[in-house]
Amino acid sequence: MGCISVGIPRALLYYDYHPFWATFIKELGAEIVLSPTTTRHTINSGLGKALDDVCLPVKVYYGHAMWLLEQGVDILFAPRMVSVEPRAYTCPKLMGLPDMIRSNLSPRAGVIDSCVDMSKSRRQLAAALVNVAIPLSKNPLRIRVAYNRARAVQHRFENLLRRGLWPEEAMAHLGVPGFEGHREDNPGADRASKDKASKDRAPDDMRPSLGTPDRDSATDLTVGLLGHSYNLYDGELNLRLASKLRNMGVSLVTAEALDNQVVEACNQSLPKPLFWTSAKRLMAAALTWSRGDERGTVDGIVHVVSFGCGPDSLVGELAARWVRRDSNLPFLLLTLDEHSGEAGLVTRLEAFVDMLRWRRIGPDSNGEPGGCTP
Amino acid sequence: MHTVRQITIPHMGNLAIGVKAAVEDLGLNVILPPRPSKRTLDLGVFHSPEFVCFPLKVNVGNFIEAAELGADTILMAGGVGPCRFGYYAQLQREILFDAGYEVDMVLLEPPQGKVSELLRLIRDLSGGKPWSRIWRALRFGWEKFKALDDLDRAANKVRHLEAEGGTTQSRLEQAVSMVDAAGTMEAIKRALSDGIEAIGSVPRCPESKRKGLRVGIVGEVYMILEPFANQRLVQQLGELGAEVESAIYISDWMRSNLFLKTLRVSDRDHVEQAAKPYLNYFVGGDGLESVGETVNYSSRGFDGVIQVAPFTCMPELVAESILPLVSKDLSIPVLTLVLDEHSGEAGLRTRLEAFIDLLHHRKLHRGTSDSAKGQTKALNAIG
Repeated sequence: MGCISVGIPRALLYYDYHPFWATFIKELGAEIVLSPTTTRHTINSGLGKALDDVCLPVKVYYGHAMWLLEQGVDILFAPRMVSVEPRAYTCPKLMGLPDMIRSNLSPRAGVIDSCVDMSKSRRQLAAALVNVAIPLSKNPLRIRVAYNRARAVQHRFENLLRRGLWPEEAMAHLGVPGFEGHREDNPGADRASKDKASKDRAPDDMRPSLGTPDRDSATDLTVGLLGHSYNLYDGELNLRLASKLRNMGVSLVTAEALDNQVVEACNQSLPKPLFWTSAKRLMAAALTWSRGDERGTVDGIVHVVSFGCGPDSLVGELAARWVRRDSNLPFLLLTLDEHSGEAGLVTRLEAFVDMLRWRRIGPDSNGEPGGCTP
Repeated sequence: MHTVRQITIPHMGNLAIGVKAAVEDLGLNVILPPRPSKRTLDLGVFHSPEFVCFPLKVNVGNFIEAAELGADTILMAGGVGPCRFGYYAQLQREILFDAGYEVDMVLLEPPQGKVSELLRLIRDLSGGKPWSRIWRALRFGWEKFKALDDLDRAANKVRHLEAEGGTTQSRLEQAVSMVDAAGTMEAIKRALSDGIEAIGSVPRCPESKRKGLRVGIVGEVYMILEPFANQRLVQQLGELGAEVESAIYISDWMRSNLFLKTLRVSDRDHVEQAAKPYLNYFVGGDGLESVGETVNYSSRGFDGVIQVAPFTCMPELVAESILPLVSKDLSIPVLTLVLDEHSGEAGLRTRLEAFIDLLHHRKLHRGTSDSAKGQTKALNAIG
């Protein structure tokens, strides 16, 4: 009898918590099947099943889940991530995700839809973990050990993020399940990325998540990239935004590099603390960058949002208004969905980067231009 | 001593009437914005971010129009998420500030477990009036809410039967303004009973013309309660010959969301139970209720359900994703209306007419081997 295979979609909160879940599940003796990097096909299949109005990242998630179900995994891992800390939620769409998946995809495989809701108490996690573990192992000691290992890996993962690594880079570095034997120059070992590999893409495009600011040479500008991790680090979803910017000689920093304490302190300093976990980090990054402290000065901010994203429509606007008031840092809002064209994106990025350069080397800018939306 | 505050309240159906009654009873001045109009919406849309949900935009329009009339203090509610509404006021404050309106915002946040905080805020606002006065004012406003809801319910029972289109609505509006004008508890009761009688005596159409359809409305609270936002949905359905029941009335909503939630009591168990096979966790806003109430309407033998939501509403999107399965399982047609500032009147009317026709057809042919497939197809075409 082989071991149970658990399919993990490479989408949404995967970019934040994969090391934890994958380690935990693997330690319980299951085989991890991680869906391959997003392709156009992933997006298209998700589009076919999801409601038109849901945001692109959720559609991408559907695509990944469908791929896993087609592979015949025994169990699809689709936890209900309600809240990962007291007094804050993820997003209503993530809270309803397992039900949406069940309703729209009618999966025949089992679904692990354990609910993680730490909004009232962090101790709820224990119940959630036991719930996840039940189909795989009923041995309490084993679950405990798996949890400890998973937590350690997640801790190291987050430390790497704080040091500026990007999620998949950090995962490869740690060799978390799904990344065993992955060297950084060989990320496309999965079968589906073979279809994706094509001649018209630079090798750099093959690994959208690779390359940290300090490794980029010959850059004269730094741009702060704001957005949900699943938007920033999925190259297919964001039309390879990161490598486009790098090719223009821009190095990038993201909100993941901020320490948790900074995020929390910033959140408490707001007129009313935010109640979305990702929004807290986003706001903290925007305000930290606009104040330009020693941790990182940026020349401009690019906020990547999905069309129809609820929290971002509100928090992004607030961040933009506060940044504009605090500083004269240029702020570019990029709204992406499945209809976004590459050419339009390139034009806007080029205009933005040109403007940043012009501001830096221009003779005397008389304080203008302020916020800029090319 | 500073000048007297001029308080304003955003519109959400009859919300402003009840709140105004309570606030004025405390001896404070209230300046209400005009009912939402095209201008309100234009102002709101101009100043608000593009993809924020629709109610925020109408609110902003309300606030600006109230400020133009001299209001300087906005009374607004808050929340603890994950629905965006909980953070509305924070953004609205910045929008008004950037647009140059000098207004103060007083927030009634549903306190995380502390009723005393909420009460203290109300007391501060009143200028330290004794608790007995505050209690009286709250009771007075509450009585108006209940009366207004009773009138709405009465009108919904009659509108689809009226002989001449519009009679019910004009009598309802008259009764609402009587309640609004009432200055004492007795006056409210009188206005209510007069109103119920007037609405009850609306001339009926002959039996043969009745369709006997019952439609339930579920969805996001603002979109259900505000006729400007839902394009007079309840009225339109009545005119098309359907008896309408709404999942949300303002007094019920306030009872369960403001009072009971604060006391950590839930009166929503039956809804949660009903939703359970399809959605077994809260998703913020009214998403869980939309699923649960749809199931309840079905078990009560309703002919169809209409879900109404603002564009990009997260909780309703979750419900919308799940409702097709509920509809299929329980064999009850569900039409989802996603509305915002771009929604056209004629398009909506056509969809409603088609939906009512479908329900009517379905009812006439119930029991006969009628093409269920055709209906699903038709429903997909409208929705």
